[in-house]
Amino acid sequence: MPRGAELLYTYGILTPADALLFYGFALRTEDTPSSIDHNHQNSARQIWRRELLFQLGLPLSDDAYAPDSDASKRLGTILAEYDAATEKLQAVLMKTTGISLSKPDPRANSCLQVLRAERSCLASE
Amino acid sequence: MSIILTSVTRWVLLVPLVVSLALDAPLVPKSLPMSSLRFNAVRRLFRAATRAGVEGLSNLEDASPMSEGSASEICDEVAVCLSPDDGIHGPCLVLKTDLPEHVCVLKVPWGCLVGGSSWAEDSSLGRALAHEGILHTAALLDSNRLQSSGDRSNFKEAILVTEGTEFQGSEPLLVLWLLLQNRWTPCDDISGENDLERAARRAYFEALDGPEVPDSIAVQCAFAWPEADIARLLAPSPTASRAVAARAEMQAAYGTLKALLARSSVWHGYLDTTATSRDATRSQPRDVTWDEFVWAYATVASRAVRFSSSRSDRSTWSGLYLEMVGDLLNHAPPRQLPPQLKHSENTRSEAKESGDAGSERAVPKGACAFRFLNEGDGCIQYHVEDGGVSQLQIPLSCLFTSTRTHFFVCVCSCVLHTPNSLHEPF
Repeated sequence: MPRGAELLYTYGILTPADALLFYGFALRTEDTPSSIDHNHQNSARQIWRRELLFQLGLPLSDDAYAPDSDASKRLGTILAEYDAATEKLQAVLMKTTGISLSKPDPRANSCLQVLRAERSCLASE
Repeated sequence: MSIILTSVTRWVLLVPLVVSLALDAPLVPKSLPMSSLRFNAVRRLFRAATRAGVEGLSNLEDASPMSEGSASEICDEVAVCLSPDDGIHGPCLVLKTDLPEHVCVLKVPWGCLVGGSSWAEDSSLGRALAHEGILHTAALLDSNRLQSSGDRSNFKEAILVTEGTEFQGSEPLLVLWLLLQNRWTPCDDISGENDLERAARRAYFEALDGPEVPDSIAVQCAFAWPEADIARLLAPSPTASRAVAARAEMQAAYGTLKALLARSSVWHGYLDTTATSRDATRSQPRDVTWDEFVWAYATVASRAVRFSSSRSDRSTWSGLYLEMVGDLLNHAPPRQLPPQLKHSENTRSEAKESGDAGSERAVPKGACAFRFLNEGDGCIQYHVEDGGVSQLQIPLSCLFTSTRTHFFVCVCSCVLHTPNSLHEPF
């Protein structure tokens, strides 16, 4: 872990993703160690998702959005924005870690993790 | 116990010679400035620690008797773990590691903790800064609450008013302490501290990041980035807007801090009390850079531990502290850590406050340090025999805790019994 990246995981202003980390939410199933209780993860994810929805101005609801609702469309738009931003950051990283001589932006990878985590949480139900 | 003391006595005679020979060897090539810098710091500390260890051990039985039942040897050669009930002279912080089978309890005297408010009250510089306008820094961070306090000149009241808010009054003070320590060590920084305690604080800084302050980009706190970068890297995440708002707050606080440090009256007040000190001739940090401020604020935000006490002397004990020993404790492998951190060996420890006998209580938020210690950071390794998978690393700076505590005995026994386990930095 590079110097300073430790702050990414503990500094609340930077990222609500630290909630994900401390609650033990796993991005992928294979990342889930057996020691972390599944119910605990699920609960943490729901808490975090509600916070994200609130921050993005989407209605808070524990139920899944109806496919044709305005909220569902707005969420879809936001997810598409996340996809676009993620792709852009991935392209930056690919470029800087390839043959290019330019130094990679040390922030890009961390931000990519944040965006991926948030998108994954938003897309879950 | 007698076995321990016998072994200790033997090593008291042998280790200083061996260590001094070893440390005089040119182990670090001069072409590695950063490693060399850290190495020299650790080497200097280790020498002092060895001296302190010898002196401390000469008074061992009088100062800190260890009864048969109060200590247990986990590993014959290395670790002595203390039970939570072991006595310690004076108030302390109890750190319980999360090693599963053998609970190691390290008791750290309060002298190894630094609190923003206590610093401001105990040191002449802190008092001068408080009187001259540190309130304004706190006010910027929590202006609404402070304005309602009515009396902006009452420093203690300001601390209490901001208590319970996101930015407690002691937080900017701790940031300021960190900045000053990094740039300049005032001679009476902590009332009553001796050379070793001061050296311990220096070691803590050097173990964290070294004297160099990383630039605000490397720190990776989004509030330190230019707004265009925040948008480019974090949009559409709501983190982006929060970072922009935080940046505005931090910049205002930074401006106030710069103005405060530039006031000559602050330094006049301090120099008047230390005119004969060798430190009085050093240059005072009348200015701090944005990168330094970001580093200090982020360090406090991520490393400080908040204590809440329900005792009657609440205003004395509550607040934000940097706990230099627990902050750097490290063990491997990580247990019960979030999966995203599984690749980085890390620290989890549970902190308890211990003031009066039998009044220990759990601190609501455990002390967690998120930093992996490398051997180059100058660690002593405690190997715990539970299948050979767990070990506890203790930075050399821990050797500078009080010589009259069990904790010191614990560390000393590790050093003296197993000199081969002490990893010289490289």
